[in-house]
Amino acid sequence: MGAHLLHHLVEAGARDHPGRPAVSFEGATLTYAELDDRANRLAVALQEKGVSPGDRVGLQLRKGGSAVTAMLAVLKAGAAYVPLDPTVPEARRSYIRENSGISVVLSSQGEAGPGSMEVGDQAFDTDPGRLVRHPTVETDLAYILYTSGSTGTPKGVAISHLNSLTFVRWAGAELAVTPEDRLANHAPLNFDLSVLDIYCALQAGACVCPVPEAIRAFPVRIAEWIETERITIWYSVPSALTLLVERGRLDHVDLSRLRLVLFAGEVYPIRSLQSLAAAVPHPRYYNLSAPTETNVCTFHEVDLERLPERTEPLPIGRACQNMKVFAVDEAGREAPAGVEGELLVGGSGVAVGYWDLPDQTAARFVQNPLQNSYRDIVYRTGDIVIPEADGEYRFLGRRDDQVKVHGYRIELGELESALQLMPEIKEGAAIAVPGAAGARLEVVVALREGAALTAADIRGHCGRLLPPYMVPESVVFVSALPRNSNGKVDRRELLNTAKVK
Amino acid sequence: MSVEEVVKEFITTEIVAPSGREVGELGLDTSLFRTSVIDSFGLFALAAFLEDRFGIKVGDEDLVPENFDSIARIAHFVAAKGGVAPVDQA
Repeated sequence: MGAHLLHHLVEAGARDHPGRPAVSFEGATLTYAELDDRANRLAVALQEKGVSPGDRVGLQLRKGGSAVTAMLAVLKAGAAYVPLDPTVPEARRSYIRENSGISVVLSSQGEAGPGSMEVGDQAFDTDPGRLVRHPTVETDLAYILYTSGSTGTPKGVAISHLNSLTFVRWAGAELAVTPEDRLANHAPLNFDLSVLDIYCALQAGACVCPVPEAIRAFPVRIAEWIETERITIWYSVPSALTLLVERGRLDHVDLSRLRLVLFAGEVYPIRSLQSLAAAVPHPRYYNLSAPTETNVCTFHEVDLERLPERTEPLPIGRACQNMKVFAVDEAGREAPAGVEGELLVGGSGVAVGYWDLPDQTAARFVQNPLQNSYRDIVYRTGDIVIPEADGEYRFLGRRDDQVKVHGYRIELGELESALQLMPEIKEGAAIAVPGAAGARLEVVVALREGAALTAADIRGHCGRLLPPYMVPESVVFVSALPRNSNGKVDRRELLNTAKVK
Repeated sequence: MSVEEVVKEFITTEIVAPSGREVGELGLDTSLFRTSVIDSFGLFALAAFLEDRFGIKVGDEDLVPENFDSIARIAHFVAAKGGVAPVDQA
């Protein structure tokens, strides 16, 4: 029997090719044998701290070999990990800790808070032979990724070993990842893009190379880093690639080893992709469509010959071979080619559900509307698409108020809930204003009579509650929000308000 | 105001405060990027501010941690570029 749990990937690597590099970070390398041994030691430390099967362990860790080690250690201890972004406000992390019932938090060296355990040398000073291997099955949870929630608090997407491995197996085969590959890890651990980087590398005996925080903001340094780390596979949101091509001085670096450029998270502005492909013409380019709830469900390889003349957005592509993907119309029938419908996704890559949110889980993880004879759960993505005759799907928009800004998935309702917490605000709405370089987040607010607030006050308030990418770039003050005849906030009119400004 | 003070004020009021982030006291040598006080968008805003305020030209090749990772480094970079602080308006 092959690997049926995520940590089996590193265990197989330690057995079959112990000396190969598994993680490369800031000049240091962890081999497969070292990574597996360190993960075993840390797993023992976790078990000695009382972590039991089914527990959740928080990972408040900066990028690097220790973070990869910690993910595997939690899984080996039989628990599930919950990445906690060190750059988001403490209020949000504390909500996630409580909501998911985290028992222990692993933090970076020198950053341990009360109740957390530092991943320093001491954490590895255990006897790996003492690791207790509890029976874990593939449907047990491996990790919970928190994403923006429309009701005002983030929601945790619960992913099992099977869900994750279903995706990792597909990606490894489709992208033909080999032991020679070196995969960049650009996305933070709390975003599912990092799942491909880390676990596809471990599955193939390849090396994962986390982008150091210290150079993350510097496009010139990232470009040099891709060259010196000999990166062959890059996966990120389009906006990170746009910064690279616009500000990274790509003509000064040798990126010839790069063979695959993958992107997901938002529609890639076509002009920007054309500039990138002109500057770096040799890799293959893939657009992946990846709601956290399904891992990647559809993919599209960019036709580079046709790209220069292309004006319409890229399609989200065809179904991954081991996923069931279809669109249903408003009547719940399968939408034929050319007819728009909502994209539904089924198969073992679909998440278990939302953590401790039975109503939201029931609303989005539903019985397959096309058959009623047996239990067959599919995820309603909320994406409105058109199936094409060639099996590819074209993205038209959303059926709710979820938007993508710089590749981040944002529920406008969560930002609006934050606005309502300011007593000076009578009413407020959030919108994503489209632009040539992608959308930007803006809020429109009406203040109570006599109240005085500046845009900076409102942004500061949002920043204390929400992750940096959910802080609005601008604030528009109005006397009242535009409403349509049935009294609902008129979002189209809101966009006009934003444009007029 | 010294270059260091001007830069610190810009970072504090224009980048950190609107973000709502709780970052401790920004010392002259505090790393601004290793702990993600500033992201790439903040970096470009800061570069544009330096160009405007000190009359220097900041090229893409200048946008590296050696020049930007701390207030002290930024001040050194501004001086090396021949930046002149305008006289404070009283």
